[in-house]
Amino acid sequence: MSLMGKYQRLALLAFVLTAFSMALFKASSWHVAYGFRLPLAPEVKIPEKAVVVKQVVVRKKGRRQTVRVTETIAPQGRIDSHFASSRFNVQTHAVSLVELKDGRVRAFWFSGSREGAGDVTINSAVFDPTKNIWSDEKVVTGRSHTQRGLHRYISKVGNPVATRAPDGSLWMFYVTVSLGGWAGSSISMMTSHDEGESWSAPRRLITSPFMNISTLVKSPPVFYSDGTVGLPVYHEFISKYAEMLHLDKAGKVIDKQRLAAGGQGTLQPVVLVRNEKEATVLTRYAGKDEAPRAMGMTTEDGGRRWSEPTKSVMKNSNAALAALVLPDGKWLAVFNDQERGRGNLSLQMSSDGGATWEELRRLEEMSRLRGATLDEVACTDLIDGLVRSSDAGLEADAQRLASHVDSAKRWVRASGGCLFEFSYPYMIQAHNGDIHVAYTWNRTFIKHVVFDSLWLQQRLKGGK
Amino acid sequence: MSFTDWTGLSGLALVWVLLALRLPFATRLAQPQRWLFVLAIYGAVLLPVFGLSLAGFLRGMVGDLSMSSILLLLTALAARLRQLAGGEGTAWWSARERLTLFLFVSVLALLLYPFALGIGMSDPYRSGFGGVGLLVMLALLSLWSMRRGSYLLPTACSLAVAAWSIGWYESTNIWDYLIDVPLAIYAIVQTVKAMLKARKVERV
Repeated sequence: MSLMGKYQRLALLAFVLTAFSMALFKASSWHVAYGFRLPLAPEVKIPEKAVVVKQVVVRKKGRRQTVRVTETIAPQGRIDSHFASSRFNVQTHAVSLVELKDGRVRAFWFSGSREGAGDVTINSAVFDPTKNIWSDEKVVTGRSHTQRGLHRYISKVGNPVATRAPDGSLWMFYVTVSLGGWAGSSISMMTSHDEGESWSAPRRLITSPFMNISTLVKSPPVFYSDGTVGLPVYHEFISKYAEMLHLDKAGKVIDKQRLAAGGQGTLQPVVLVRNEKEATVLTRYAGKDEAPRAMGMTTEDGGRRWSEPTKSVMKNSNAALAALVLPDGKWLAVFNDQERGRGNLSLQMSSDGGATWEELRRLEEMSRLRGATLDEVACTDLIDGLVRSSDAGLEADAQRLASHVDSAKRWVRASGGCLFEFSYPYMIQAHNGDIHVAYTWNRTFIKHVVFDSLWLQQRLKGGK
Repeated sequence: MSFTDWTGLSGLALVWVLLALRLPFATRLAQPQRWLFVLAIYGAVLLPVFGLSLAGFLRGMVGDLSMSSILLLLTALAARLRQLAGGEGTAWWSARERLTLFLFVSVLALLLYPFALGIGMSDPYRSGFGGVGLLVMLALLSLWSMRRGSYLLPTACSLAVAAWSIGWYESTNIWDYLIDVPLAIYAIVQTVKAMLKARKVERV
């Protein structure tokens, strides 16, 4: 029998009715919008052909004459690369990029003594396209700072992803782990109102009922028609699958959608929005297929329902990929174009919605060395060459060049061989049309490749 | 520290206070000293040492306790203090009411966790994001439970949805206010124990 008296029971009934009335009132105003908001088209300025007037000396009827000749010089597309990170002898990984209001590009990544170590911090630096240089990197947050802000134990941090929030501020999502490996991750977020110079205390996103574990972030968010945000995430605990978090304009979780069932090996989803209704998600494949390919899911109703995952034509060696939709509808992707290892990185384009891909440039190619035995001298020579070709600015500073080579050697020769790894690409298009690609370079540095629309056009015309 | 953080940490501190009150030392204390002891344990569990309190460490491991857990802990604490003060009766809720709640939590846990962790395409956790269906189900269950004379279940459900309505915790999902993993484990163990005991009685 209950131990409650009559008046206590009446009071409880009143409480039950009040509580559920409040909850139903709140639920009735809970709105999750679908339909994508397309990004603003970049303002691309293709340089005009330059006309040069030259004075040329010619002989006419035995007499020397000076003749004016006009020459038209076709402008050349620009591609350049740099190292964005500047710390030596650390492991560096998982970069993301966001364009600042003044056209500069801010990058975020994590680095420390090793991936998952307690000293790993989320770092950031800014690329100034007018000066073509990266700033020194600064620490945004780390394990202790996050622990203090969240008032709970944190053992490691990783995978920062930044985006422009609906109110114009910057949001940075990153994963934090309290127990176990990366499968135990939760997502936290910080806000900046000064373009990333300073950040709010972290805030935890609650995305899973099971001790809030196993939601990880890696790829850029998308926007829905009402300004709310779709954050592509993935789950790794027990089984692996892609998901989509729906955040309101304040960054609170209002919905979570499963994009694929567990066991289908879909990780690190990247959303390619074609129009308000149609989008495709491409994912890293973490399954056991002998011929591994990135997986793809599509929606035709603005993200309300997603198709079953199917194999795409893109090779995937259980590695993250980056992709975006260009204003003309073509798709651009950066991925490891191989079934095993991460020894190459390829920039490719698709004009038919991902059915076929054409390579525009091999950003890195060391996969042919897989299995080869190289002695230390030969390997160091290779690293030296790669460092020089990755950042021409280092040629002028012998000491920094040597430090880069030494740092890279620690990873490349960690197993005693000569194993290169290029991974976790991230790609954005800036408002001036420039494409910025950043990726992990041998777990040692973050490499940044930037090219303009003209370079892209020229590659498409066949001049690889 | 925000109200949400304070509640999350206090819920875990309650566990330690209850455990401390089980110590023989606590039973020998006089009334005022016992209250001071409760406050001292509560403060000690929340006191940061090298930037982290014991409650903060536990919060990192298990997250915030649900409103159902906090309700059970608070009523267990009140009952324990009443018992130590020499009051009559030790339980705030009857055994039947507790078992009804444990059965309810066990069923919810078995319906929620396996599917939320990736079995199939359907994720019941999604229904907790403002899901009217889930709320209506909980309301009907609460009223039915009250009609049957069991008041713990409706109290827990109402507390959970009220806390969700005002955004008490970081979570925006009703499920996180309703159940949590430690409670689910405890409830399943208690339910199984009760079922085994009932079978034993039937055999006798």
